[in-house]
Amino acid sequence: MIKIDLDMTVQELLAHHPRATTAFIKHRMLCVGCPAQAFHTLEDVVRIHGCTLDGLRNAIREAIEVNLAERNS
Amino acid sequence: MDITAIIEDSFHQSDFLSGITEPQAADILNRGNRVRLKSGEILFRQGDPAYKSFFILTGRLKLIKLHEEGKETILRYIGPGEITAIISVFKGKEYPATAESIGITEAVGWDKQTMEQLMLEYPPLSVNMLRCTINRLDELQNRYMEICAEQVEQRIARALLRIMKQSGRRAEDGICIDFPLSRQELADYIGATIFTVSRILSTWEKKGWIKSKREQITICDPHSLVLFSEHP
Repeated sequence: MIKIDLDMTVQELLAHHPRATTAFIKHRMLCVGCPAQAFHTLEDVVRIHGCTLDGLRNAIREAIEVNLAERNS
Repeated sequence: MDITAIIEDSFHQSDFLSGITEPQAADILNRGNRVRLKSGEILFRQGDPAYKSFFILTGRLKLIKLHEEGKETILRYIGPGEITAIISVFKGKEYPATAESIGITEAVGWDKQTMEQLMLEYPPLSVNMLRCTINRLDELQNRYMEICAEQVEQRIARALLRIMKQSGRRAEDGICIDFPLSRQELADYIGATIFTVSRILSTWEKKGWIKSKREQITICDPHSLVLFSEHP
């Protein structure tokens, strides 16, 4: 299972897992390309956007894994 | 301070040195002249013959353009790892703006001949300088369009966010802009009056979006500021 650290910044997450972009877009969150993406951690994202920790983590994991599966099929 | 020690800091983040190895960077920097500026010192003046280009090692420069009637506009800030006054590689040109140091600043300068030689020996330098120029042109075009199409509050929000993105530092109460930025300078940066900028910043401070103490601006609520800058 892919490890997602909550004190990673959005920028770090997207650098390691570019596919995670779709998670943010799907949930209408402006994090991708946001001026604060190098400073805000995933924990900040949860606090600001009012989602749950697990909800965010699952959405990101799904985006990464689904895209991986699509590529491999 | 030994140049190789400083290289380490500015090297990894430097677009100018992209594709250049550390020993090559040491050679490039050693073939220029070191300059050390106190805070508020002028490195070059608008209208003077452009003899040299400069690469910032530590510190920061403010590029100011003066209008005929004496009004100052701040074009941009130049930080560590960035190059400025590239125009000096062309013959008979003038510096298009005045460069003033913010805090103690160390830079390396190359004259036209040396830079031309370096560009021949290290081809990535030319590509990097072209990329840098294109990015800055792009930014200026965007800022110009904002002036034409957008209200001043949005422009202030975007300016703060742009500066925050370039020179921000994570602090306890938000993201702090890592150098002194006065209301007058912010007004000069976006082409507004200090009265308008002061009024709007006070409003945002009351909303808790920013904190501003003695020219130190901290963005406490970047999310609200981003939303505001997109749809006021």
